[in-house]
Amino acid sequence: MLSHEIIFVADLLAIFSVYLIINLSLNLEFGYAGVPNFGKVLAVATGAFVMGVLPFTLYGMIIDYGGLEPIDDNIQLVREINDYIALHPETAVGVFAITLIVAMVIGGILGLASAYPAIRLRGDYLAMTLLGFGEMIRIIGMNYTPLVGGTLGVSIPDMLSFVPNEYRFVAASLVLVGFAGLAYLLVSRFTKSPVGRLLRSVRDDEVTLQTLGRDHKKIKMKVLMLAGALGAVGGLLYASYVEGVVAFGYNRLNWTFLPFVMIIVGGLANNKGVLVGTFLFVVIRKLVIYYNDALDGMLPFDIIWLDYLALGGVMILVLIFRPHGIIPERPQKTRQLEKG
Amino acid sequence: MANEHDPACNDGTDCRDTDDSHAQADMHDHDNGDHDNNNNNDNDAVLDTTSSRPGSPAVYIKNLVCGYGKNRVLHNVDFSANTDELTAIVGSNGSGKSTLLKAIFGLCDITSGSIMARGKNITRVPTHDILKHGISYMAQRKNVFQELTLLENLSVVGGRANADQAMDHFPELKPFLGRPARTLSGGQRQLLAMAMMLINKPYVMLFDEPTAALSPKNADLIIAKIRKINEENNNCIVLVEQNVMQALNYCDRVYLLASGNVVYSGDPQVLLEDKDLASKYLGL
Amino acid sequence: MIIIYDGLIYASVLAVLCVGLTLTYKITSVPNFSHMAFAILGMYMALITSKVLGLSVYAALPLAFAASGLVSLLFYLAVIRILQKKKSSVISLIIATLAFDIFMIGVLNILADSIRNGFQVLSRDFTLRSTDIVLADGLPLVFVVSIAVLVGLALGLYYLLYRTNYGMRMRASIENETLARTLGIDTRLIFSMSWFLSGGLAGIAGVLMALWFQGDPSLAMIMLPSIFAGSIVGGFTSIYGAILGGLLVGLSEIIGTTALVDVFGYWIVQYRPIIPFIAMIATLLVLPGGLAQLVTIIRQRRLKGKNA
Repeated sequence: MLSHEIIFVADLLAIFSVYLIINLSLNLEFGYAGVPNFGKVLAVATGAFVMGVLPFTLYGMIIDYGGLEPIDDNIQLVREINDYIALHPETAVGVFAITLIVAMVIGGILGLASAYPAIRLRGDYLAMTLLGFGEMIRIIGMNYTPLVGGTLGVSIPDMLSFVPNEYRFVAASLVLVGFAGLAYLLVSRFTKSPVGRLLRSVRDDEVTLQTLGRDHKKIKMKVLMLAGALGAVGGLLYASYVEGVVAFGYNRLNWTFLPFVMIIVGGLANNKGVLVGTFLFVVIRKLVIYYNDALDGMLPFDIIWLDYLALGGVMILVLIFRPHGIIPERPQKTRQLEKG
Repeated sequence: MANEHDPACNDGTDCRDTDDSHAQADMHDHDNGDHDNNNNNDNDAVLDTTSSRPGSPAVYIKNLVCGYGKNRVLHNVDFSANTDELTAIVGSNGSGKSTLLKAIFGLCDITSGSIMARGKNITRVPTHDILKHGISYMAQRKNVFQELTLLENLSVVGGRANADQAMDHFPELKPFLGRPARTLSGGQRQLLAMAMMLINKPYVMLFDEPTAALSPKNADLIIAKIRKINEENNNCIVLVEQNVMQALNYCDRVYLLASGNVVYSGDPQVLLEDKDLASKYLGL
Repeated sequence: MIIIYDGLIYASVLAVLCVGLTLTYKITSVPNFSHMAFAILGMYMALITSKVLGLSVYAALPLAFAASGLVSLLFYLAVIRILQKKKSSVISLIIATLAFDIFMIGVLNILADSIRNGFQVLSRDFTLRSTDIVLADGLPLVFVVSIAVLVGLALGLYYLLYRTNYGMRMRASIENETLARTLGIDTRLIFSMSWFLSGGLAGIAGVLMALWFQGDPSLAMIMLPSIFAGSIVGGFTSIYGAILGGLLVGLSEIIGTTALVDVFGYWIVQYRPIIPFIAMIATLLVLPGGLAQLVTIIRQRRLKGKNA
């Protein structure tokens, strides 16, 4: 058995990795491209939903389900697939890779779709539209049962079933950390490139933006595509980590509002700030949940609501007293300048 | 001469008065390029703060530093405008002319300095209370409510009865009272804005480029109106003017601003004769 | 008959909410994403009045108006005004309203839990329909009151804006805040009033909602897109646009869904929230100025016609 401490840290790192990926993607959209994506949950849920559907489809091609249905006979089927993965690890890698690619492609397409209003609408209208986008995915996920089991949700196969039981939890956490590290390197490389600098320089300047015209639109579309794909990866990793998808879990609070709080507290348009902000909030929330039980029963209401009060309150205080976050945005050297 | 000018004072902060005689300037006048922060209090003692007799300052600004956000526009400006006089503020674009008027009305961020009106400190009085101190302001653009009718525009300021009274001075607007202000021509709009200013019978009237974007004929009409108001009401009029020659011809006193500093204040004729200043700042 | 009640009550309530949202947007340029929270506060005022205090639900109308109005005013003074003074961007303001929405959802859920635990009253997915007075022929009073509130609001706002000095100053402040201030109008007071009024109206809308539909804190997230849709369809600039937009979106949500059920079957009911979203997107893409823009276009055409 793993000690409590190891489980605590491994879980913390896993959740941190998921949020880091999502926040990096949100920072690309909001911090760099200036697109207030209040529908961040859309990309995240998309990744999760793909993870909730595609592995069943792909394994259906490899093994005979014997008439079992992914949604109706969910638990039984997951057990069978897990048993198969334990014996054939290579299939898990293949299936996971394909699922990941598909999720990224769909996430990228959705990101591109959000570029359409993002280029045409002004800030407040855009915010409403994107928020609406995000709400839609939840409605579809909750009501279209064949997708991810509707309100009941689905369990999904554990892609790490081949790892011995006692190491599996830590292994899953490490995989997530690996992905997050990769995402961090990728994004900071991108934001330090001349393209990233261009994005920041025109973000707040409508006039320059208009004179740059088409080129800038193309860059914006690319950034939104990349961010959409990255957001989907975050959702996919989260779903595979918790080994299930429940549509109503993909709500505005957890997957849109919380990322906004994290990146604003950390510092917009600043990947280090995102790192700090994400870590801070993941730790705080984890600790709150950890010590929650102590308070339970002492209050005449569910403790979860204190979380709402705290998050909403902190966000407002930060906006008023520290609008540029812990690590404010700084002029950044691009790679080329550093060479010269 | 009083208005000898030290070119080094344009941007310097350590310039001192090079000439202390100030022969023509009145005694409250802080003129050419005294930008020193702390050594300018010698005139306070003689400032008559209660009287509104002709020639006494109705508006008196001291050591004003202000701007927008972190961007400072005026650096340590002294200014006074007298009752019964027409004071013009001239200078090139971006010299801070309009900002000086806006500062009086709390429309920019004041870092330091003080603004007095008839002896009362109004430095950080909220914009909507400035009118109560007998000062009215006419913005350069958007100075009437487009969607309100003329009558409503006037009533917003001072109620219905005063609106009718104000119309006596502006008979040319009477036929349009029920129309929305956006249907007026440029000149008519300026007249309406002036009528709105006059309703509360202000002691001080601040005009920000009232003739900008008007035809020469309309511009003359507006200036004539302003001078008539000045003569009839014996009040203090401060005018920001882009058209320097025109301004120098009719004003009683002029302030020349450059890069947020006062580089000349006093008699307009003297400024015109000062070849150095005229060529440097007025392009004459 | 029930569909007419459903449709018109919902549409009227939505229109009242759209008016409030448009009011604060137009007057203080803040798209308030926490607007629904004020309505839900009103719902709980109705629940408390009816089930805890044992009074008629209609007694909750003034109470909800005052409570939601005050919370809204406080939010404006303590958060929005400060951010606007710091010249925060509109996106920062939106984030602040979203944050306040989250905060209020917490508050409202705590309120709901406390009512349940303290008074053994059902406080989630509750409805007060059974406590309503039924007029002749099974006509529920809330139906009449909802429509009366909307009509009263339309007439009242017209009177306020176009027949009183205060309204004239309000219109002046909306059009040009700086000019209004230089002319001696205390715009702070007018802006504060608009938030109080907007919140208060939402509170009333909440009471009416609870009298016919199910009340629950989760409505804050569910109904928000509908309010935005209604306001945007209306043009987001005019009070009457907001009323029309709200009615249009509300009716199409209820009646449109019913019509679709006849065609596709009952399952489609679950996708009802997509209707306002489609209305919003369609408006933004085709006619970004909404109904208000349409009216302007028609007016201009008519003028041209006259001239020609």
